[in-house]
Amino acid sequence: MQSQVSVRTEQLNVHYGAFHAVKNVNLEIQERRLTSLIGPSGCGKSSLLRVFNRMNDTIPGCNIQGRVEVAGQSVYGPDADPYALRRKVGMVFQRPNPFPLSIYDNVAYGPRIHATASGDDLDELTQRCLESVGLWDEVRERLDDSALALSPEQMQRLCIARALAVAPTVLLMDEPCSALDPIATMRIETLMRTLAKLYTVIVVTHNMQQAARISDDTGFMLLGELVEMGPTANLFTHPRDKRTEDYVTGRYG
Amino acid sequence: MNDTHRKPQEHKHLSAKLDLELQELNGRILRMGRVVDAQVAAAVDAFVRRNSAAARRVVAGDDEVNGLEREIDERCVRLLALQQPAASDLRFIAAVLKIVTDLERIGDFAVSIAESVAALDRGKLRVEQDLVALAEAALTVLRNALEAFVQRNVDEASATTSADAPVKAWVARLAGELSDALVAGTTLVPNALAILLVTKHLERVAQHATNLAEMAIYTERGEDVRHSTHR
Repeated sequence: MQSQVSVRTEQLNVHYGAFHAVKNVNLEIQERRLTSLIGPSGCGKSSLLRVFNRMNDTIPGCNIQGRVEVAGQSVYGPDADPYALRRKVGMVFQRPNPFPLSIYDNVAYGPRIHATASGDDLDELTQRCLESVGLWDEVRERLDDSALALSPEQMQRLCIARALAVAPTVLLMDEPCSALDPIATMRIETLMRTLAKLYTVIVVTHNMQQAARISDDTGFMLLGELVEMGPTANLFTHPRDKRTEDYVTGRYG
Repeated sequence: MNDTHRKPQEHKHLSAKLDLELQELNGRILRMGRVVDAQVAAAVDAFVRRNSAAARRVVAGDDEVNGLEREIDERCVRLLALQQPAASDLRFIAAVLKIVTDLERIGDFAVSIAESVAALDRGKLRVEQDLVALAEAALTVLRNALEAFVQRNVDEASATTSADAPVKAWVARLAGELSDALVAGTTLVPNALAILLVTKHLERVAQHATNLAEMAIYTERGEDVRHSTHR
């Protein structure tokens, strides 16, 4: 089966005022693959991730140049609709951030806003989303309980379920496991692998071993540049660029 | 060159402990290579001198080789488990795990050569001087390959992967001379067979040594050059 490009950038540059955060990034991310972005703090990996669903729009002084496409459609073009985009591109953050609502209402929030489901359909959709993140059996008896009573891992699963509820094609994850213990991390990683069969998953992580364990492709960023991107096994066994080599082996760059 | 010498990387690891452990591992491979080198040389010397005492020392010396094999394997497994090495560090450790087996096998050839001394007749054959030359040729390949590996010298390694031509030439010459001596009835068959076996052992020493050179290239460049040369 021919794989389709899900996310593409051409000559992408991101500035925050005078700070050049992302420099001339050209990339193609194939659909239904798990791609990790690694690199030291401040290298631009989160800025790059946030470009894909316009999370930078409200940051004063943020200036984005170049072309960004999701599923063949321009993200920043004159006709682009940020709301439609965010339905297509879900996001999961470092700290699990459920709304202070019930478990059910967290998942149902997006479909209600976008009016894509209601009534029995919404119940069914909510159950399906909770099932696909492995949370349904744990919460089915207490869907009306506050989401804030869940464990951190359960909250993160709920946040993923909430993102899935609006039927996105792309899932962005910014350090999704860094607030979790190792066992919870392993379970979320397993979930991420499962999700990558259905969605394009792009993960920013500081944890190189995590990137090595879970991703099909890995991109290494340094000082705003995408230094190297390719199959994960290549990047961790024989990277092409000396800077990648230094980073993955833990040497001074 | 001291025993922990290693080609200096342009950058050190942020973890000084990892740097130190990799350097030590390099030093242990160098040590093991030098021990098996000395074992082979001593075995061939004992053979041509019919020196049973020296031969027994070679057999006893295999304990150190086996001990080094176990120690190096353990260091590698510990590094893999605790440091999660990547890229060239990972390739280095993978290469060491393979090289250790080559060196241990070379040590076994030294023992086989030493063990054959007891069964030899005292009468010497002229070809035995060629055995010394063959041993020197085989050990030259080993020394060059070992040096290339611990120094990560790709040029030297590339030259060494196909540098067993002198070895092959000596093997062919020895086989011819042995054959002539047997036909002419100037040697006892058991002696000739023992020499032929030593010849084959030394040829195998050189072949195992070229594996070290191939692993040097793999470690430094990430290229697998095995089975790609004109061997």
